[in-house]
Amino acid sequence: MRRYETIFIASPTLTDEQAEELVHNFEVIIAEQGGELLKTEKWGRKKLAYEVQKFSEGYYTLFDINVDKNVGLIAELERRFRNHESVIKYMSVRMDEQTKAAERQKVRFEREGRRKAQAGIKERAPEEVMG
Amino acid sequence: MKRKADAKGKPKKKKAFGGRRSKFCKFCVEKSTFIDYKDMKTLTGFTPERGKVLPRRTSGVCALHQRMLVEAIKRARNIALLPFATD
Repeated sequence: MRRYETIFIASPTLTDEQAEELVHNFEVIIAEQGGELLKTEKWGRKKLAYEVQKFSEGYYTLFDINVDKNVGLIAELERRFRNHESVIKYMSVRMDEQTKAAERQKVRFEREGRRKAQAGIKERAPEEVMG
Repeated sequence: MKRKADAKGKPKKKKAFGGRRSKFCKFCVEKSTFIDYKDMKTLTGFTPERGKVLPRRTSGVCALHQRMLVEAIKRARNIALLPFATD
């Protein structure tokens, strides 16, 4: 299984209802293609940091997807984003490998903490350091 | 960032990294294992006016976390959450 976060920006020329409908369409596609949709985050109309296709606003939507590695869901989804005139920008990020790396790092932090405790080095609380 | 009231009643420096105050890696203190590209509150703190990445020598972030931070900032730029450049 692979975990992806796919985020897309819909054109600000859409009404709120149209944007909702667009999101729903993509949700259906994800389900059809065999992806497991963990969550959909609608951030609503947000200002863009720079102009995209002359727009300075857009509807942000984030899909959190679990999908089998043999299923070309992300490729299909991105193809549809590309061909859809209301989608002005999209990005997919694979998250599972990062989560794994984060876990390894967590173990490392824990080991470091134990080593410090043994050596008698007191760890300062975050408030103390940042104070 | 919350500031604790100083026991001795001495006023503490307001500026986070100004003066001779020793630097520390904010992420190490929090033991962050992953920096999210969607976490705008954190990311904007490391991208001053022009939208560049704040260098390690200024922020005091450790090498490991700077790498994570840069990746997060680049992703945020890609999806128009952060600017590539302003001006």
